[in-house]
Amino acid sequence: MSLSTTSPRPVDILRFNTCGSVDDGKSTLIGRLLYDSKSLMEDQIEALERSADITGGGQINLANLTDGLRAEREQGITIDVAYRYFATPRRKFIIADTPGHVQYTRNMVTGASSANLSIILVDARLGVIEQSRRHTAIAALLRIPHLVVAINKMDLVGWSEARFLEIRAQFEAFLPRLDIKDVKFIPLSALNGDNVVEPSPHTPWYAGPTLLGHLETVHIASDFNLTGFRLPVQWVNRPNSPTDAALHDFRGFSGQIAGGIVRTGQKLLAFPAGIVTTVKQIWTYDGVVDEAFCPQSVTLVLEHDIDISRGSMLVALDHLPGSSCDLQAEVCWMHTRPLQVGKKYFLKHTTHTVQVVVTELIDKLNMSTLDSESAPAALAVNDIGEIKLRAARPLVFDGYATNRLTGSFILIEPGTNATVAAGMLRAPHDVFKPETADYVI
Amino acid sequence: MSSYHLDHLQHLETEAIHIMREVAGEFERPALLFSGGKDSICLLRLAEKAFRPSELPLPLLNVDTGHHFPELNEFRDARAAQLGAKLIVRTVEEAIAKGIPSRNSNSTAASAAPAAMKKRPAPRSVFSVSATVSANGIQKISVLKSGISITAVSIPAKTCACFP
Repeated sequence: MSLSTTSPRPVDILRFNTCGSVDDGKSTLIGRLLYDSKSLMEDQIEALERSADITGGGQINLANLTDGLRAEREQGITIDVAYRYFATPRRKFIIADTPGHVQYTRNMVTGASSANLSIILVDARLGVIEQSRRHTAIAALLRIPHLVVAINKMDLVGWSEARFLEIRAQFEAFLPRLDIKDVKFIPLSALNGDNVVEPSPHTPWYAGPTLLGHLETVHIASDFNLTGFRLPVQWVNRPNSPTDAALHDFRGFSGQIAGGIVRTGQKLLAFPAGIVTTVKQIWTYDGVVDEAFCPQSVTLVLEHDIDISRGSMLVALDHLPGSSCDLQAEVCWMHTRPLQVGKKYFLKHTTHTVQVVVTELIDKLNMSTLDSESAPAALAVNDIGEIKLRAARPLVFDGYATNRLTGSFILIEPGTNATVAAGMLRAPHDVFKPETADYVI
Repeated sequence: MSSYHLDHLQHLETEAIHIMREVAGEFERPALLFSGGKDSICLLRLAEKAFRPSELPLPLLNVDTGHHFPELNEFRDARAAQLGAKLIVRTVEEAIAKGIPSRNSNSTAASAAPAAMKKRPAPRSVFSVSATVSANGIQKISVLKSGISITAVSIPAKTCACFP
């Protein structure tokens, strides 16, 4: 039995996040997408219409739909990101909704870390502001494959093509300094629905797709990494009293494939042991399979009895990762206590946690100019910079540019357990060189 | 398109399994909320997918509000026994007797009590993956995950309604 596509017409998922400053119309835009794509429950629509009669003079306030974040905060529930869902016949969508204020930049990093696409909202009256540059820089840093610049409130600038082109030029002035491959500019009015789901009669000069049209068709199939097998071991699967007596000696290693493809009979290198073994069986609840790929969750049974536990990593021999105590990374600092040289943290990378010390602050990104300032004294909350770390034990990793899963980490403050940074690793200087004699492909 | 493709439900399932295994790997006293309802049944099947052929490494937990149909409780007990899972059932009255205050004293016992229960024991030991099931199979799986770290919160069913 195969784990690959079974439904006749595969429907895929696009994950995106929306970034905007306060009052750029982010809540209204999400509300408009949900409302116009008919993704609302009857009772939600009724509640909206009721509130429109009472307070809005008959006008529906779409922003009320996404007030979840505020409500949750008022209830005292800590929630960094609210996920919202809608679907069209072509795709399912997951929106990571994060608050717009500057102090919530770290939330955006969290919400965007698994996104295929980022929408940067710009108020047509204000043009590019520091938050726009900050959000674009973060999207670039996180290697979000696709970017949409939604120029909102076009109705308030008289649907001026000149204004649209002016804002596009403001973006294009700094985009070349960031590594972003695909950017789309869309003029719209979230409030009135122009160019969100339906094309606008006010923009005859705009020939591109509507926002939803673009979200439905943007190509995301190649966003997962299928080269270089990686399995961070999450959990050792060893039944004490299996229902099936034949599984009495079952010993499997469970995890979600973080890169590449694995096949039965394939040779793998097990870290940190550094020993080569062979895949005996790929076990899933729905049956044994011959191959599995990123991002499937599987359980591998191996030929040899090697010491493997949570935090170990199984990798392909043809694309070896780096293995080093010395690390260099871009980090987004998330805590009000600043990052300084000499501080110690726990670094959580895939399923592995290790102690690290910060050895150097290389530079800090200036959000107004997008220039880097070298050797800063500290990184404050919401700062982005490049740092060097030294780990107590070697880390098995890839560069974030190669693999978003095995190239990312978080820093945890000892004592408080606060997540203080999200990090993206630079590619290793050297790949791992096995010393054992039995290392023969 | 290549065969290395997951459809949306397979994609969500693989993530849900990942989260369940992280919980088993990282938490001291995890539990899986199981009432016997359709959402719970979906979660329990996901747990089987995450941990078989081993026993489930986390007990099932149900807060009995006293307003369930008896058939539901019977099914809850039978299903847990069938899977060899440990089932912990606690009642609202216990929480009230211990003096755990409810957030809204005007609301009925049924709605106030779960809020009271959530206040104390939930955050450290329970994580929530919510799901909605319809007659023709799993329609919706909503996994609470922040992308980098795992967010362990429980939110009302309506706010996690997903794919129509």
